[in-house]
Amino acid sequence: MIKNILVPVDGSEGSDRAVAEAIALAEACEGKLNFLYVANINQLAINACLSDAILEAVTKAGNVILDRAMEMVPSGISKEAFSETGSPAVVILDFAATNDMDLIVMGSRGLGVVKGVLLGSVSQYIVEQSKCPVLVVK
Amino acid sequence: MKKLARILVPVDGSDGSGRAVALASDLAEIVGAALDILYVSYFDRETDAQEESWLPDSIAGPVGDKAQNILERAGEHVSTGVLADYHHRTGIPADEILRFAEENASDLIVVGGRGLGLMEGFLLGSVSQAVVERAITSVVVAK
Repeated sequence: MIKNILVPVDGSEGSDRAVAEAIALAEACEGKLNFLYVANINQLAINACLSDAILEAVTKAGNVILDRAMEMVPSGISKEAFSETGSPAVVILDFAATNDMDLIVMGSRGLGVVKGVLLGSVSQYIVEQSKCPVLVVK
Repeated sequence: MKKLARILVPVDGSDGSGRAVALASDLAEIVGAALDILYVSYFDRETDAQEESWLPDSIAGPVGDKAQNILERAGEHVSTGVLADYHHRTGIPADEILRFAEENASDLIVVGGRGLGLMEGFLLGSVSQAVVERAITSVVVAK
């Protein structure tokens, strides 16, 4: 049964729809929602030396996105927000495996505040590589 | 999210599609939906123009028995209490699956990822891949 639902978020429209659908599912099966924001630090590191200001901005952007997802969840549904850094697809799969997720819910394509964090290619990679079922929300 | 009323599960007799039916059955139970289990075969005798087929009988022959078999095996993964309808169509699988989903207003499609093997996880399977990309409804890929 579905007890732990992982919802990677990037602030895109697609990820908003994924959050909405995940909430409906969690409500129906009394599961827990785990929102995960992955800051693509590796990509950023190529573009600029990682100054504290950049790190802070990225963290802030992630927190805004996570807060928005958390606020969408009606009371009575358990939820938790996680923030990680690294290559999104790899981090998401790692997280799902380490934390025993039963289902990953994600948008079909996104283009977030931090550009490229959850592109179609991320969904594609996760759909192919994930060990647990993946719901691709249209 | 609109309420899930009908969940479509395309099957092909593989382990992956068995897992898809089991997952779809769980989901159907949770949300109170009904299942449409669909098998699509490429050929049937009716699709052959010639009276004397140049194709071997294993390909062009009646696929009724095989379809029946695959649908019955899929049915074994459906929990009691979950409503399921069984369908057989002939054509290009991905196209027929998507057409079926539109005609029957499926709210969700559950497909199997590819089964085991050396390339495990690398290839989704071309039919599942096409469905994930082209479906207008949300798609679950079972593992």
